[in-house]
Amino acid sequence: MVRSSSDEVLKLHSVKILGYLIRLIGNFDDAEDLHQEVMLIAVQNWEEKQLPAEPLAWLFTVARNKATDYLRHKKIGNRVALQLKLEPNHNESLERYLNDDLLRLIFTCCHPALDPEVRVALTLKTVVGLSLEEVARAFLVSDKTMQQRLVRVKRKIRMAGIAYEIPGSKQLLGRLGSVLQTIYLLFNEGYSATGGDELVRKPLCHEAIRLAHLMDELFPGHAELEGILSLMLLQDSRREARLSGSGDLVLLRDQDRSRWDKAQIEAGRVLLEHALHLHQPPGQYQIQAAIAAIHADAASADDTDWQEIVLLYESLLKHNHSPVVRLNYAVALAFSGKLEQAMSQMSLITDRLQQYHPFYIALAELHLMKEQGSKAIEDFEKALLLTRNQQEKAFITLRLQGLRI
Amino acid sequence: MRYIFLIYENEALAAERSEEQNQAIFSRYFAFSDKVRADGVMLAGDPLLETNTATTVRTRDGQIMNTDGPFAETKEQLGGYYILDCKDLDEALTYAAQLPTAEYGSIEVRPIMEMDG
Repeated sequence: MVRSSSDEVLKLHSVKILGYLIRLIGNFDDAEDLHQEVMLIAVQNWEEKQLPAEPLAWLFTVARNKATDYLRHKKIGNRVALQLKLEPNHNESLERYLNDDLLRLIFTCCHPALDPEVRVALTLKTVVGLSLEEVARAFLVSDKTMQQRLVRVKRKIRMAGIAYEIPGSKQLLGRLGSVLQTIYLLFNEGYSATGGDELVRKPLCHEAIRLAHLMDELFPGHAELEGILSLMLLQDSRREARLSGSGDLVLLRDQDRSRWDKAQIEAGRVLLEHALHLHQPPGQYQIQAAIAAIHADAASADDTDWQEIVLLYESLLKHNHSPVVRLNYAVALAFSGKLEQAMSQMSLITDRLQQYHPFYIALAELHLMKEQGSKAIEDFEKALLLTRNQQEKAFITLRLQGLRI
Repeated sequence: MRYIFLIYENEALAAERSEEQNQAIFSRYFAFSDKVRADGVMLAGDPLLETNTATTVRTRDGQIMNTDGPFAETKEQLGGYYILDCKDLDEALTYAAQLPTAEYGSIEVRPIMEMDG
């Protein structure tokens, strides 16, 4: 039996080989078939004998040979095969060579021309290596539906001419942004499920963090990437305190901070420091991480430096003026004692957030601060109608009961 | 790979533009055409007259039906197109983003089906 850390290493080798095969073969489906053959040979061989001294090199050799046979069989001329860089140059490590192919795979799966949720699904299936069933469950759809989505997206990649490349410098910022957006979407799927009963789907948060770690190893020196990793580590550090014993949602201000993962908070902080010292233009993920770090620093809710958080949200709005960011800004203003400014920010986003239940929850809190209980009740009632999440429903119902006494 | 860039904008709003504003937009389109020609990717490109000059033709059961106007009522209407020969989708999307109408309308980028032979 292989130990779990060996499993993780093998999974990583495996996905690098997949990235390599997709480049050589030119499409996902045929490459995935070949990849399965390679891994099957590995499992059969390695079970009988010992693990080879260099598993990655072993897998690579088998994959390269299979790909060469495939290309020859398909009568894809020698000219094309020569154009393909089938193996590393003599001064290039195999590790580095295959890391580039994994990067190509990640950038392609996260291409901005693909629907954001479908990017997540494709990344989960192809890069993270979840099964079809696991990916379908993550999105609360049937296996058949998810399979159709994956078929369609792979078709789009092929037909629309999405190149299998690491983006050049001109497009890098935008393309990397798309990868980060995908990772964060995955994290949020885990952090706050929108349907069903589970508010925290830990495995997806864990996968998002793993993916960001991997990306940072493959593609070091990008401050926003380190920023998003920091942000996720800091948010996830609260996972043990977010739910009560009975599975109810616990607000940040009511959480038992002794249950926050201090080691993870420290890791997040160190990463953020490092990101800021790269002196790249600050981006939305570094700023959000900085906000999360302020919460993490506060020994209790009352110790929170809300003034600093307000300033950070003002920066964040320059990079991301979505109404949800403005909503969080309004809440921060309220907690820093600027209630009227908070209310005027809320009025700016009322139209756009009509279907967004957290807006009404926040508005209720603001009305309570203004001692307008009856308005707060109306807001909570609107929120209750809009959320499908059982734990949030339970939370709102409890608040309403408290107010109606 | 050949891509067609379908340029959509709301005609009613476009009609409210001043002569000056229209000239400015045309200048930018001329500049774009010059650029894509210089880059060697330009295959075709034209503005279209408004949808009130359109006629939609359908033949069903051997009968020819001509309707006055575009194929359907839409929020934005097709106003022009380009056909460019791009290396890949990223190159196509970069050009699309440079089109003036991208700022207030929509540019649909679609690969052209290549038929061999």
